Amino acid sequence: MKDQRAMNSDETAKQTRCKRELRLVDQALQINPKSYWLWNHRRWTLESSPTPDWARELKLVDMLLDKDARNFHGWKYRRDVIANLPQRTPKDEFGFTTTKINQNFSNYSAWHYRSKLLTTTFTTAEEQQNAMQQDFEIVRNAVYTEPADQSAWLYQRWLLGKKPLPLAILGTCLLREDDRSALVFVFNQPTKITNPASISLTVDTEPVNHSGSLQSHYTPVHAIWLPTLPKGDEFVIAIEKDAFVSGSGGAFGGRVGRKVQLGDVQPGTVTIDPSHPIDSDPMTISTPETEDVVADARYQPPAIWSRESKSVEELVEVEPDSKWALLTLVYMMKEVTGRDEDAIRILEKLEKLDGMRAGYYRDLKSEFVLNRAINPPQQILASQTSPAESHTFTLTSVSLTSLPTSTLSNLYTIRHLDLSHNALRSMKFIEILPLLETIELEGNQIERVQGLGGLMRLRRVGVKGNRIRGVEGLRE
Amino acid sequence: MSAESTFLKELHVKFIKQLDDNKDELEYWTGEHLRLSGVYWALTALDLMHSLEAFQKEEVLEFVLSCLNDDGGFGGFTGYDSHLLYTLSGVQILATYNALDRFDKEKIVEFVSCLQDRTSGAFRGDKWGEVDTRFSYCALSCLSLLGRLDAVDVPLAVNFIDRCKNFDGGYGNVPGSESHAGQIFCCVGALSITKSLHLVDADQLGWWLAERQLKNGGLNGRPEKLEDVCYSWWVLSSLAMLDRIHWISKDHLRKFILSAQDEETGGIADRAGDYPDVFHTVFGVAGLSLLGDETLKKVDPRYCMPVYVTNRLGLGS
Repeated sequence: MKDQRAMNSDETAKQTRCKRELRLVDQALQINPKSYWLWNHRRWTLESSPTPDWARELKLVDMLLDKDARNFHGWKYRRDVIANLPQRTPKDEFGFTTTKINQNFSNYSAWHYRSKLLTTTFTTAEEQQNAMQQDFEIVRNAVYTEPADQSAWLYQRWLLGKKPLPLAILGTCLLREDDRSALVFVFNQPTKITNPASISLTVDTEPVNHSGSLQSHYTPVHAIWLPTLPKGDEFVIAIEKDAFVSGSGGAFGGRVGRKVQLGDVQPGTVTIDPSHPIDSDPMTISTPETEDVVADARYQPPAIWSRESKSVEELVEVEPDSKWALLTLVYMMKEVTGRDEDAIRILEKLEKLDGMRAGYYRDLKSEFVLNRAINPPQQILASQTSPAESHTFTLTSVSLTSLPTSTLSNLYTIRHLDLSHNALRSMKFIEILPLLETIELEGNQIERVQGLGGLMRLRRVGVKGNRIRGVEGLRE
Repeated sequence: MSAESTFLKELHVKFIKQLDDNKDELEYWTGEHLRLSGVYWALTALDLMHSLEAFQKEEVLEFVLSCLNDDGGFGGFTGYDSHLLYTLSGVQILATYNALDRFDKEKIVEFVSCLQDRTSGAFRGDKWGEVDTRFSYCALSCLSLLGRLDAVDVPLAVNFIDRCKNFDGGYGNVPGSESHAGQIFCCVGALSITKSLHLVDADQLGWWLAERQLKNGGLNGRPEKLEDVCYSWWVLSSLAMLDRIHWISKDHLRKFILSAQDEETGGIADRAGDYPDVFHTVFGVAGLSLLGDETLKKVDPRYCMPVYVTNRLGLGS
């Protein structure tokens, strides 16, 4: 009984000290509401209190966010408070963000919080999609009212989602030279070999030594060097499950690999098979089923993209110089085919409207210029059955500033590349073109000669008229 | 001599040399708790301006040693409690002076590694438990300079940072927090140091960072906020690590930084017309270096230290 009383009086004393501490923090926060350690101390004081009044804290945070809606310390502290108020639901918080956005469309902090709450407030796919459709309407209202406010435009991009790119192998090549051979894998996105021993090669069932690709970075192209390649009839590549992993969590590999009829493989020959393996046990591609992958795989169907695109086009008719509307239109054009010309035109306008970011618009324009010049991927794959056609690619004097590797990967069979008289800053992209024999880069803005190391067949690099300051990776 | 077109190097060196003479100013004393970071900022600015000798090496090292506590961490000043922020600054100063072997490396490593939460991968700033991606950066940067990244669970640390990614491709201080250029530097820097940049959507984040440039050429830290010279570092170094500096106007940014110079006292302020301080001075100078000013030493965007120092430690990218 005596212990109980002593304990209670200890608790009461502690609570009193905590209350006093909070008053001190209150005073300090009045002077500096943006101090990391003050907010941390407040949280610590509440957590140390025997009977913390979290409901009161919520009222205080409400007041703070009324005064300064963008104080990110306040928003973070709000989340700490909510975590201690189970009676307050995600739906309540979602409603709070609606209130804040209605008060001021450019409350970026509220849109950000909303993006986190949407998938916890609405838990089924149907509910989420309904909520998103409603949010498309809120965004439409916001951008029509204030087209110069970036918050709603960015939220719209998030609603539209990112196109999932399942890991796929574009093709494999077996390159033979006098002194060595290379087995090259080309993927549609950067990957890493998890363990070189997970790849085994045999000729007529005899193992072939290889050095696995030892890059520590993710790359779409992996070259496995074979010091010797004996003659034989059947060359079998076997890749274990998950031998390759992509940055986004996909994995590639399978139990049994491909067979290639080697015959009498002469030096200088290339054996290409662009399609998937032809064996009875095809290589499997697996993607992890984590929440993150599901969230990233959220991607609105074409009808929604179309609807939103039309809405932005209508806004552009009324506000022809609205940078955000124009840029959003270009963003949407990336998702459809056949609008390269329109996108290029808009980007040239944006270079003038928003000159400080001209470098960005030029890089973006280069994507559309490249797209316009090459055949769509389906045609590339088809033409690979007649290799004579697709071995050369020329794109000169079109002010190319960069080459997106995602599009370039489709050109991986190229042997002769002419990109002279453009505005390329870097030539690093060539490392994803394993069959390259000649590359013309005269009259660009390249500062470093690089990317040559893994290209077994490269015999000519034209870099006259650039800004070369350094050279990397040249071998004898 | 227009401040807008000329870099006033000699004046800035003078400004930094006189920092310790300002004992009659309130800010000198209210900044005492972070003096060690102040010394790192001053030293780095001097070094980038080819003027490292303006400080007395042994005096500085003596001060640094006085901030080292028994637990292996550094406090912000002599006698202050250890914290990751000042531990990084301490190690950065030692690295700059090539004096890392003068101190018990392993004790420092132990202090840092004990601050990792082995469930979430996050780092506490000190024993009182505040978690923030700033501290993830401090820990990973510090251990990388000491060559001891193996002392912590790197994949788990990376996973925590990845969970701080937001709808706009940026990063906040904890999962759920809004994107902010300072946090973005910390996260992108940490991911770069741990060879995990493939987790960043470089196009999306690079564009968000490019949108930080305002009409006056300066950079802000997040939408609808004011420009500030320190963002010339947080935003610019992030763009550099993502190889997208050319997405902003270098000329306009350079002019903005130069306009924030104080033509009378030297030093750089947060923007033109305000009082200069050593914090904005180092980030202005580092920003100018990243923009390609050849009169300055090259700065390493991952560490905010001269490249010759990080190269000397074998940390070349």
